[in-house]
Amino acid sequence: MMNDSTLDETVLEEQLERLRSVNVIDSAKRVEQGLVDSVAEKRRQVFLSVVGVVISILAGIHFIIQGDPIGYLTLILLPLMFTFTAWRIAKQATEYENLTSGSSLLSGWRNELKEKLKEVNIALFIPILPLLMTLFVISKHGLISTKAVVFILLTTVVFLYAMYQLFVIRPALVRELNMLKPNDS
Amino acid sequence: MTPSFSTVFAEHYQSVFRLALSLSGSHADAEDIAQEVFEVIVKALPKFRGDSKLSTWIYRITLRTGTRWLARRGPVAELKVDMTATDQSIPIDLINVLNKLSLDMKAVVLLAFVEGLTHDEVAEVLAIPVGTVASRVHYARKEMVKLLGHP
Repeated sequence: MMNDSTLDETVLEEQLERLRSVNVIDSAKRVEQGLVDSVAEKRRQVFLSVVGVVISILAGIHFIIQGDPIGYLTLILLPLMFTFTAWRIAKQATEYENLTSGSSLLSGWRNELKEKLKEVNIALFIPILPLLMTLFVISKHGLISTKAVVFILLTTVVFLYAMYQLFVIRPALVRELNMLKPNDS
Repeated sequence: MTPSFSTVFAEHYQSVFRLALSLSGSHADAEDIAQEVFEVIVKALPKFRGDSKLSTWIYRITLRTGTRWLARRGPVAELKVDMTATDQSIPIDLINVLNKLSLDMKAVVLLAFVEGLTHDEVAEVLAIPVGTVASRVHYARKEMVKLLGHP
């Protein structure tokens, strides 16, 4: 006669076997199609980004020709934006390339998450500079002026980025870090 | 030589999906996770240096992407058996038990018990000593039997 422990072992084996033999054929087709759609969507995004950059450069040149300092600001901010984006992409790529090395998966991952949390905390202070610049422009040119509107728009974008970091990215990083807590036992 | 993406997809999809399903407990979520895993692989495969076995690298990406996906989704209540679902093959009790384990324990369970990797292979994926794998396997099995018997 089987005791409780043997019975529970049998239940465990039966459940593991169900997980091992799960049907993946249908889902493989859907995921493959999802990948194709995702690649097409990313191409569209890259195309739109290129259009956005070209428009920004043309606008910057136009403002410079008009003798407006906003043109210089645009052409200074664009390379900064490129550098930031390139840094993020390179960092993401390195993250997965590093997974081939022999460093401990979980402890290395925890350290990376702690680093990311620090970066997010720093990012929360980024809106301060454009905010100060906007207040300066408003005090000089008034609220109803092209320059003030441009700076308000710029500050809004940076502020939304910081809010996204605070309310979406930060909680997800904290949850991920909590999921990686080592077993106490 | 780095294999083509289609070869990698054909050879590793089953493992990736099974791990994703074990982490999430839902077919739809597992498909989303699997898609994210292969999006990462598409991008990173050309730079794969071959410092480890390809399967080791893919297991690592899957564990990380799956956990990140679950962290982004946020906490959910304990899974219930959906009698209306077309596919009732998912062992919900087991998934709930797995969710009660810490990730370092869960990773060992998934790789050893579900994927059937040897202790040496699990140790290579997680980059931990083989002895640690053995003790975690032993502890996890006892814990899972206990939790399955007394949910």
